[in-house]
Amino acid sequence: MYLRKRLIRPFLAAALLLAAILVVLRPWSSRSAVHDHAAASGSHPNPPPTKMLPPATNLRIRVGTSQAKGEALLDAAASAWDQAASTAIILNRTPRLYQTEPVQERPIPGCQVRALRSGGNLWLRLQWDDPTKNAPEAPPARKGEGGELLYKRPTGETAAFTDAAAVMVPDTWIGPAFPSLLMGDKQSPACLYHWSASRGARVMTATGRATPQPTGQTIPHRARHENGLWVVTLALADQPDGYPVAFAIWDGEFADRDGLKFFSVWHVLTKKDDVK
Amino acid sequence: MSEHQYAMVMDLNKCLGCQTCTMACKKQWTDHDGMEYMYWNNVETRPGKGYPRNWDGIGGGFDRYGQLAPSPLPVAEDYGKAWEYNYEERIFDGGKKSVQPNDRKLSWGPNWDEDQGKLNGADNFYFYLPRLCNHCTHPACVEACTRKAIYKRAEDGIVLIDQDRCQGYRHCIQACPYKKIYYNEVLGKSQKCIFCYPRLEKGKVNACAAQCPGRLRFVGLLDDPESPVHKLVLKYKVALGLLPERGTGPNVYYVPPFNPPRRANYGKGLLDDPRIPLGYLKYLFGLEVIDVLKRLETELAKAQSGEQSEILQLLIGRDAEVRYRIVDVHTMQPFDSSPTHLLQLGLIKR
Ligand code: SF4
Ligand code: SF4
Repeated sequence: MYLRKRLIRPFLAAALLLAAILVVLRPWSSRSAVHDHAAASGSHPNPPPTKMLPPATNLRIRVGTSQAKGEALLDAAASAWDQAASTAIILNRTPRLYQTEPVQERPIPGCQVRALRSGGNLWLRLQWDDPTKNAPEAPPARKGEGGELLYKRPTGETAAFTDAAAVMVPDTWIGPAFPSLLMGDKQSPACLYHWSASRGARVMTATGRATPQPTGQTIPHRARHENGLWVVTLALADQPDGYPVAFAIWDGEFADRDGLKFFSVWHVLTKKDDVK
Repeated sequence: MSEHQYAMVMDLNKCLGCQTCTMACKKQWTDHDGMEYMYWNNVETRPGKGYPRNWDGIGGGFDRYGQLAPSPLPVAEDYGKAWEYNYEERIFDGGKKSVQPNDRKLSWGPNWDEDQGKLNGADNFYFYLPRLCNHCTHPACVEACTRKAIYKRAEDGIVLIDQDRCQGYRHCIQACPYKKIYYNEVLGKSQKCIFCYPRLEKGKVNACAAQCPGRLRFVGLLDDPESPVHKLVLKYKVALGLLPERGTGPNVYYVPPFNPPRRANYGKGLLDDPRIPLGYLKYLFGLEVIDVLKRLETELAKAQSGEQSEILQLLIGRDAEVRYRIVDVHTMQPFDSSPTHLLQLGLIKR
């Protein structure tokens, strides 16, 4: 009750003040309404962009084919990757989780994806800016005299988070509408290939937000952090052309995890030569 | 709100700071990989910074508009890392060095400021505060978990983390105002006190309570009029939750400590010139603590004048059967292990 009074009083005061201001400003209100309408109807052209965005073809991931043996493609420096088209992925930042959390002003990292088909797999090479490597891992158990494992494996850090990335494709999809970007929905469940610098790459399925469940499967992957860049190669089950695919990355340095991440919208897989 | 609610009352006037409860819990539940720094039950000296360091000063719980107000995550040093001693050096290599921890740069541990206390004028004061998850009525941890991995059991109000659903995001640790959830780095999961539910389901009291030589822990259902916790919290109103303004409705209650007055004031009332500043007790237990202390002082006076005080009799709690009432939550009947001699004497009811 006390709380309610405290909330209502300032609210009432503000409402009264606003009413008074409106009465005083009335003669001008009709004029400003005309002005507002003009602005809203788009009679003013938008200013040109300060930085050119990549063209819309970037919403397609151009998949090349490769004769290279699968394992070789795990090497991000393999020459086969030079043949694959590189697509710049525009990432977005998710909103804060709690209103009480401070706002973090962070630049959006640049991200490039290359894709190749080989040996029944879709091989992806993800590369994104990340100045700090965050790959926390529990320290090994200490050994006693004679190398005997006397101790339990300890927890080394309680507040460290791992860098991570994920690729999302539909698990089952009939189209033509894209599945929900929030990790699929009941009609179109999503399949998530989630790589973490601490725990490797595993497969999960989801039917919407907060539903991902690990399937217990892992996938071949390799990761390298160098010169402020993560380069990760992943071997997914092959996806047909025309299928949607989306990307997400987490920066452990800023305690990214869960929905606190950078994400892309859906892109479409196409044959490398379909788009010039 | 759950159908029933398990609760614990601890009489802080009886705690010895012996850490038997801490060890009972450790041996029973946190003796596995990734858990060595965890003390689901810890006993800290107050006033002091506690475990993890400064847990009560960093935030958590709900703000006054009912919004979650998460705190930063404590780092490993705030909990204190386990350390070893230089026994080898001491025993085998010359034997002249004193026994010391191997790591000389330690700055904190789960009981770092033990018995330090504070001065109130010329008088030192301190008391022990045993802490565990409060199995809150409005758990901030449940509200913060985006995976819906934490749940409050409908049948007895115990708050648990589903280890299969948990992804180790640690929103719960930030949200809990008592910092009673711990991250297991080996498993990548968060873990917490389970109120010994597997023991309760077999009619056995929590391990920390069972081992406590101070006999200061009382356990039962808050809504069971026969239970000692119902009597102490709701009937006699002599036990309070910790940091009530954090808005989670804790279900671990404390009988506040009432030290004698300061040295110069023998014969005065407990509240006239208290050794433990009342402001500090108000900070920990809310404004209601003054009424509770008055109630306890009245009971004390009663007992000292030769009258019977039901409240103090219960707080003495000599027998386990008086301190605990563990029932089958479906029938509300005690498990059959209740000793018949106490039943016959009418000291406990079935
Ligand atoms: S004490 Fe913390 S962990 Fe326990 S129920 Fe309350 S909010 Fe959750
Ligand atoms: S076992 Fe009992 S007396 Fe000893 S520290 Fe724990 S609560 Fe206090």
